[in-house]
Amino acid sequence: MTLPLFNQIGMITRSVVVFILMVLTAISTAMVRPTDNVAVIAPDLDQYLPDAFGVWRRISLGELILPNETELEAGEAVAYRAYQDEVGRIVTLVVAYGPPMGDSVRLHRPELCYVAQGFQINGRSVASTPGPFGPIPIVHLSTDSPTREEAVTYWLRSGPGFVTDAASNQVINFKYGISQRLDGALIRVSSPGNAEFLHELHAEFLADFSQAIDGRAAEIFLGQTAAREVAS
Amino acid sequence: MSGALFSKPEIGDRNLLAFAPLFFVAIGWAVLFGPVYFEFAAVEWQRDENAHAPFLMAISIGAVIARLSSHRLMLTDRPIEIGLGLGVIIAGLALFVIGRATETTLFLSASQSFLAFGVVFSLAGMRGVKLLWFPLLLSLYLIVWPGWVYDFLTAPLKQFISTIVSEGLYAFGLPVAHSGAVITAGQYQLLVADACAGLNSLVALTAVGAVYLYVVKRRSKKVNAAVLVSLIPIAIVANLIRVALLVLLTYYFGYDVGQGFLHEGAGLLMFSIALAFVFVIDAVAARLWEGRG
Repeated sequence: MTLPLFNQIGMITRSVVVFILMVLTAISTAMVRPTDNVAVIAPDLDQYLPDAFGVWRRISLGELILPNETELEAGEAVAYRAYQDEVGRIVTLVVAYGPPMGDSVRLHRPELCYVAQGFQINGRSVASTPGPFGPIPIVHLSTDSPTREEAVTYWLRSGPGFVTDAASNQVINFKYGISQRLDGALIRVSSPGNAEFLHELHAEFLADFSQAIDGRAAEIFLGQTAAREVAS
Repeated sequence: MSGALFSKPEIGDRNLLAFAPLFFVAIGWAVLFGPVYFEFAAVEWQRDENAHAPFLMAISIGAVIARLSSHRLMLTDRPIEIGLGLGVIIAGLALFVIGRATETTLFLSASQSFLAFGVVFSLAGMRGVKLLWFPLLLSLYLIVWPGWVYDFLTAPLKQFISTIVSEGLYAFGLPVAHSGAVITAGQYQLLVADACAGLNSLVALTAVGAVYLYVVKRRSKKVNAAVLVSLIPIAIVANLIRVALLVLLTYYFGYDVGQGFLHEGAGLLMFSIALAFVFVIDAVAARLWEGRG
């Protein structure tokens, strides 16, 4: 209080320094940041799902769909299919796409989605299945609810990589987020029951599915690098 | 021109000068975070778990203005405080840059707390932090946690609620059981949804409780501590009662009653009751330790 005026001037100088630091940061991040704010248009996933591939043929959806998906946000898309193989085994396929903003795809992670619908997850293991450009990491789940058991297998693409847990998604965001905004896709297969062979069946189905898609479909479900490699 | 201003330090000029630092920091803050807030308002703050953020920001700003209009912020001349404050500011700005470049909302939102603390510390040192401790503390509520943090907390909380509610009602002779997050009450099956975990009302109640304590200004630290400690158990118990009430309503009056408008109503009612509980504990503690009501 001995030098109130001096005190105030010093305060102003320092606050101006802070001001300049803030504005410089704002300007530099505006330049670093990806500015292509593409209009978010949800892809029509139905058109990218083949009706027949490998041993699988599309059949009409019965009561197989469970659990329901959460509400869709802008740019998100979901499609459901059921397929049957030549010996009559049926699997349900759910594909979801999340646009490049935040972690919207996480909402569709089966671990959360199934638990949110009252299922318990009794088993979880990470495996891989052959894809067109190398192995695709997949996750097997064994779930049950008071009314039914369900075997689930999925792969989750986040940007150019595949995610098998929530933390690795954060890592991918870190590695690639600086140069581009990341979209994502979930490809999930499920069958009623709780047997080991169902997971093997799912892995085969997913391998066949990944081989059967190309162009824009491969870009959506497997990522852009994959789309290039499949195309060439 | 500025020389003339300084040579006659009238009341008006002084007041203007006193608010100049606040003005510069506010403008810098707006330039830096304006675009971020614009995006948050469209996405993150729309989610239930972050809905409290804009309100707490308004309260924080109000608290800063109220504090600064009644107290003079004294400049610190300790190099340690200035240097440390500047370091925290730079750390906050680095966090901002990383958050912006990688779209990591956690870093982006956490940089607010770093910058707020750094600015206060570098300008006014520890005395400034003591003066503005409350808005600085509230800035922690502005952090937007990634979804998987909530998921991580929600799942065990849901399990806990299903177990306690179903076993509690079973002890009263009702045919209630649970499997995972599904409660079976007689003929009805009820799903304990994410929202039923009550994490959002828990966060909201701690914020409201903190604001209440700040406004009421109890002299006794014991009273404040008693209220703070009771906030979390109160929120959890209130939510348990809410879920049990909904199970009972469904069991006795049917699915439509339990899941209809009463579902929303029960949430609001329980939040009000929880808040009332907080006030009662505060009043009782104040009577015990402060000798007034």
